[in-house]
Amino acid sequence: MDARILVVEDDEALGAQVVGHLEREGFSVAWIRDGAEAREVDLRGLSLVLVDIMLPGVWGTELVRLYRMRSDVPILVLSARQSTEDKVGALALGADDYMTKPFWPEELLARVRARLRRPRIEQLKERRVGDLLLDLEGGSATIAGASLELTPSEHAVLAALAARPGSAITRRALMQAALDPDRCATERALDVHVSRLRKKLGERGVKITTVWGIGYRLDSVEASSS
Amino acid sequence: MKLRTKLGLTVLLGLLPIAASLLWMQQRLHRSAFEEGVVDAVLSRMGQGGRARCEEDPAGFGRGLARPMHRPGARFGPGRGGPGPGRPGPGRPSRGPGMGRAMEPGPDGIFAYSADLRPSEVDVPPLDEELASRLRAGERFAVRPAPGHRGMLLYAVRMPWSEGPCAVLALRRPVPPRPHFPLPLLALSALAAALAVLAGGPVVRRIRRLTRAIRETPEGQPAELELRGTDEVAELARAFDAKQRQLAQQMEALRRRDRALSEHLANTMHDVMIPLTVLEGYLMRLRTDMPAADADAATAPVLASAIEETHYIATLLTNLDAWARLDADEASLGKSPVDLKALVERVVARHRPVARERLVSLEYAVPDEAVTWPGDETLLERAVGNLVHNAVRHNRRQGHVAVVLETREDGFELRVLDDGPGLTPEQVERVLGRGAAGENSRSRSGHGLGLSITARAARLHGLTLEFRHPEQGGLEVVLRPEGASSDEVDEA
Repeated sequence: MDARILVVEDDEALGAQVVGHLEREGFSVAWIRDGAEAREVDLRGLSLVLVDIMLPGVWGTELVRLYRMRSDVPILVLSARQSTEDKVGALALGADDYMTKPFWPEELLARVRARLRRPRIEQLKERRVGDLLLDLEGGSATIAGASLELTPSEHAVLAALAARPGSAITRRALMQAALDPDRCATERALDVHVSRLRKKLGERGVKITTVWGIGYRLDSVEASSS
Repeated sequence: MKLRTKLGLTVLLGLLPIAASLLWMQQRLHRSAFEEGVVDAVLSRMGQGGRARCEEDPAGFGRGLARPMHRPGARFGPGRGGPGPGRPGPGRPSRGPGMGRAMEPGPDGIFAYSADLRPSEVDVPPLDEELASRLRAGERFAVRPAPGHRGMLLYAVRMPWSEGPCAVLALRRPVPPRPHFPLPLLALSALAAALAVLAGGPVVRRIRRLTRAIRETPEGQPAELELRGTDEVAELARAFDAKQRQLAQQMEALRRRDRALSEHLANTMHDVMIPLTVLEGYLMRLRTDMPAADADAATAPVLASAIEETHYIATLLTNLDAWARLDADEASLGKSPVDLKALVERVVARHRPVARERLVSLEYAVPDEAVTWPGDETLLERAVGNLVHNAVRHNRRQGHVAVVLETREDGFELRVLDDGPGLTPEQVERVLGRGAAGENSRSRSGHGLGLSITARAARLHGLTLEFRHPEQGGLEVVLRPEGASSDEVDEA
């Protein structure tokens, strides 16, 4: 990744750890330990700033205010302060997210990725997940270039799952989005559609996973690790 | 009862006994004057020749008095001269027809007695014993209601002389008429009550201003009171003002102390959470870098336990912080729109590492549309986080936990499901009951503190917390707005 991230953290151990996690993910990281120095930092070219709140010399919220006046770079606040007032205050000053300590490294990386993710341009005419390509207007679908013979209901169920690949979709949401409420919009009917879809998709590129307690999820086979 | 009404009634009630006493005194004086008048008239008549006529014919003297004597000072005696025709004259025996009746003198009848109270004649009845005893006691005259004669008084008058048969006279006279009722006195009492009500007006208005000033003062600010004056109302206002300033000082001291404690708690949390974060980082680094061979050896469960215990400590600390804030001041909790989709994602992300170590599947689903609820984000996150924490921590290996946020026509429904051992209704009742937090916060295996915080946070946010016990086992905890309809959904 070519994203450049600034970390403002005074604690040596934690700062080193955060920087290590980010660098192992491929980010380019700059680390400032002192609040006064952080006030003067050049924000140009940065993709994200991680700021601790309780810094020597200056409060992190003051840095958030200064940074927001000078740049629109996303700011993620890391703080051990748990109160809502602190969160609301930081967000009001221009922070984009607020993360309380302690946190797991993967939690931090997920939040960082979410902040760096560019807004997805919604494909209104077609939807692609791995090798699966759904033509939303024509009602057709292909998998790895091969045509899939789908009924309108199966196409609708697959489109609903493909709208958020990797995320579990509840049975209720799938029934509302894909099945005609006047004609057999039941859980049993949904299960039948999913069963037929699994057979038609086979092992090619994507798979429909049953999620306990929720419903179903469409996973790209290459990306399905959870 | 209003103060002015009470004041008027008080004055009236105070004046009524006084008026009654005055009325009683008036009647006593009137009667006393009347009695004195009768006695004076008797003495006067006796001094003007009556003595001689009486001593001449003591028995006839009384019987001859036929003309009533209605008022003090009226003529006293048998007609305007001496004994008339047919009347017993001096020296004549006093007996004759109707002697028995003569011994019962008419209303104006008079009997004569000697100084030692003996009847002057044999046919004169003995003097009433009560009157006799009072005369013997030295009284100049004595009066009492005439026995057997309603509306009459019996007088006994000692003459200025002590010789002869007419030293004491007894006579019967009508009870004097009652004096007129003193209407002016009654009017005066009513007037005084009315004046008291009017005079109470300014006082009542000042008390009302004082009450209004106290009621209309915004909470937490001192009331602006009218402190001028020297009367009791001003004294009350000054006393209240002094007390409110004293309370304000105490409140300010408490606020300062609370701020200091909060700051101390925040600093302590900061000092603890940073090394805890570092520890979590090291543990995860160990987990990530662990050689595949070690993953199957005894090291892996130890590391998994370390990760879980670290997570438990972090959860416990944040719960204690949340509990302290709930206890400190529920009213000061934030109320801004909370993005529940982001909240669910954060909670799941935070518990995934621990769930993975326990081989528990942790999944979530959120709707496409935004779901917000006004509230305190930290507390709501703790409420949901505690449900997920319990579902993961108390689940079996290879178990499942699902967090589902769905929109409903009347709001939303947030469900946390698991297929662990679940809780019986009795356990739920005990966990959520009074004092459960204190009891269970000391039990590392208990749900107590976390669920208590969830329950309190739900109540503060207008949410209901429902525990469902699926037939196939496990537990399903549902959070939804109060009043929203329950809508159970079959699980996949």
